[in-house]
Amino acid sequence: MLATRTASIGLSDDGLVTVRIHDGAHQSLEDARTNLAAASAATAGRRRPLLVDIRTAQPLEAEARHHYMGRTLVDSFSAIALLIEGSPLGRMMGNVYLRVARPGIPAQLFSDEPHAIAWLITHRL
Amino acid sequence: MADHAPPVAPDDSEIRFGRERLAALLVTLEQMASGDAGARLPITAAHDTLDAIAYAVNVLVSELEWAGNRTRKVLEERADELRAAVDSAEARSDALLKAIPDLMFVLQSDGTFVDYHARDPAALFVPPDTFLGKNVRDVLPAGVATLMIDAIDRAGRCADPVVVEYELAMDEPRFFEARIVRMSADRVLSIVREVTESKRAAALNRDLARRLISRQEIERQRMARDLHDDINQRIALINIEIDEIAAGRGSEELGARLRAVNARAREMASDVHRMAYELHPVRLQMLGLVSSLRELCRDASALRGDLQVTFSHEAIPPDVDHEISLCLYRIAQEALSNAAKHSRARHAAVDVRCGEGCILLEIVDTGVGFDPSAVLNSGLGLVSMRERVAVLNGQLAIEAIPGRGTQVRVRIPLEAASGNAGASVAASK
Repeated sequence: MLATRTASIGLSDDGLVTVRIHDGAHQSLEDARTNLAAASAATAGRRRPLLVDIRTAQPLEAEARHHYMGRTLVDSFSAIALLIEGSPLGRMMGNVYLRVARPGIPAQLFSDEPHAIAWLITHRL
Repeated sequence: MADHAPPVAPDDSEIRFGRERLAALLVTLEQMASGDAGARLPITAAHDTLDAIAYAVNVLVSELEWAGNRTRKVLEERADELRAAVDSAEARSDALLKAIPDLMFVLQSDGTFVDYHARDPAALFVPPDTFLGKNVRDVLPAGVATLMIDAIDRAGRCADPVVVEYELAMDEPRFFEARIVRMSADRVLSIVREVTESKRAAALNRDLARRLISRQEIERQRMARDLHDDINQRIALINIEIDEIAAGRGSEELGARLRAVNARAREMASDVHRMAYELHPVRLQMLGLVSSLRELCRDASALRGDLQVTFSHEAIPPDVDHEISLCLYRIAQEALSNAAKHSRARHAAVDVRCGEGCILLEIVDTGVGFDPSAVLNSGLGLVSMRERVAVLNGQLAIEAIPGRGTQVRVRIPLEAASGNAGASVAASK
């Protein structure tokens, strides 16, 4: 498990990469770069499913939001599950991310972690 | 049966909280609307629908700002690239302009001078303040101006450069070549190069060639005269003496031998006579071009029994200049000689006619042909043909394909020998 300034990143026993944004953490562009690089490193060279827990995260600014999109996701991960708070705000944050990032890989929002993990396992390569 | 709790009506504090939140949201929306770039709608710990809406609005505003900043950055980078490209192009243009010795003019399609470049201002016909903004008709002599207007018009209608030559009387007569090309829908670029020296050199070369050819003809005439008047006469005298000796007393055998020697001497006299004639065709001056060419064709046919040479003519005036007649005669002579000696042709045809102010000569044979590129600069006969035609401002075309015969075509302006041919416009300042 690797801890950055704003997140904890690791590889689960199920072969999933997990990124858990710290409680109330506000990510700068630099934080976004660090977190994405760490998550890619955690794949150990294989494309893996990715679980991102933003249930207690602060909303992202545009620069950080745009960094979490594009080529790196497609190259490093086979699917992404966003764990969001079950509130209206949580759902809005999740949907905004999917709309802006357009991950290019299978992506889904979940408010329940076991369901998220079960879905990601079906996308293991 | 589900046990549902009845809905709870909000109490006063919740209503007041909701109103306060809406008021705060409204204030921030007004700030955003007034252009406050950093304004963002507040999000509470409630994470409820209002918070979700506030978050969505914040995202929308920040995305617009991000897109705007990115576009601005891209445009600035692009502008920098374009500036650098323009600077580089300008530097390249400056270097080119410094290196090119030619004059350059930008003109409107109506012939008005718009801009110019002159590495040496002394090369200009008139100073810049005299021609910029003025029309060519106001600046150049009438003949040259008409030539330029026509050339500008033609350049405006085609993609290829239009090339014209003209003469201007400056400190001395000078010749120029202008290449005019379309720049845009209403402008042309004219690049002007002085060609006075090359014109003079070409004229000198032509004059030298003309004098050499004339000298050659004089020499040939002299040699023909010597052969006819001197050598042939002496051979004739020898023939007479041998006849007298053969008719006198002596053995029959001696007489026969002497008669045989006399026969060979007569053959020699005949050959000398023919050589004298080939050196200088007297009949050209006496009978004219058409008759001389007709006789030439008969001689060629007689020289080689299996070669039939036909002759045709049309509209040839009786008083063709002697220089032109001699040129055409010599070319026909050389071409038929080549056909007889080298082509193995059975048929050849000579045709001479007048048209469009020119006299046209064509000699065609159906022989084995040859490779002109292999012969043109080394065969003296072909070199001589080319020089004779050039002196008279004519055109010579030789088409020869190995195995498919030879065509020689000559075109000479009828006024060439008087020295008035040429496309330049002479004008005075």
